[in-house]
Amino acid sequence: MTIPTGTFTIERRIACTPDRLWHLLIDPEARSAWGSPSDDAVLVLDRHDTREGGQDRHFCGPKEAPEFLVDTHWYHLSLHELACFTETLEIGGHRITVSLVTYALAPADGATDLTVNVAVSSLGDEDGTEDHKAGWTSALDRLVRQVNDMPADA
Amino acid sequence: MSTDFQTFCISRRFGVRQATLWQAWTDPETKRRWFAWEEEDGDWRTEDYRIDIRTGGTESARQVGPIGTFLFDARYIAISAPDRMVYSYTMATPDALLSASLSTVVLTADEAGTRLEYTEQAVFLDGGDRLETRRAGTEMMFERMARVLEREAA
Repeated sequence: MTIPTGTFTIERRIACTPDRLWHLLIDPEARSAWGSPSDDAVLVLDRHDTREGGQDRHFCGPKEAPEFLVDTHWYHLSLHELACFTETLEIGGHRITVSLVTYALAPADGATDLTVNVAVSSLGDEDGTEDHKAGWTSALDRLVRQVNDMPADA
Repeated sequence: MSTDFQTFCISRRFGVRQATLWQAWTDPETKRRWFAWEEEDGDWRTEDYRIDIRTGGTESARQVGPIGTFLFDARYIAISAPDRMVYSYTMATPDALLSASLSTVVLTADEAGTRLEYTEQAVFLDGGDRLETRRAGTEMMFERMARVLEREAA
């Protein structure tokens, strides 16, 4: 018997300053706008305590029934540079996956290079790494579109 | 700030029953004997060891030695007796976070005893630690665990 584990990295150049991107990544309300795992899913903020040692909670899933529980536990927040947190995904009282995530931000020619590292430990029988990768890819694509659609002074 | 995302696995067989190995990890007094150790020469010691092993529980320690003080803080995310647990932990100095890790432990009974499969997915920050030393430290930890089990079986 094993517990499947996996890792992946996603990189994006995002057309805004590091401080603006930091807000979009860390603010739990802002994250709700881009952070769902597909275009037809929602991410709904339940409560937040966004600080080192704090915990945010979102519900995620189809708009009519966002039944997945997403608990974010913040370990490290280095302003405009680096965030490190774990996320636990749960449905119906059953924990499905746990992931360790880092956001690393670096200024780049008037934009910001974002590197997202994700390590996944799957608590069920199936490896959830590919599902997480698809979800993060969709979410970051939405973040890029959201920033591109913003007024320059937003 | 730099990030180095790494994964390592350790597989080790112990000549004890699965239930005994599970207890060695989850019974606070037994775990204290191999985890919150004090070296015979007194160079390293553990202070303020606290443990509450249950899903959602925490464990913490301050390890003090000739090269400094290191803070261990863990959070048990999923515990499924008698064979699986997932926990996250951070290592820090009093001034800086060194790493954050996701650890997955699986115990599998076989004819010769019990095999422990340990997977650690870690992000090392600013070169404060690295894969080789973390792996070596973890292998030493399991060696101490084996010695404690041998003493208790004698």
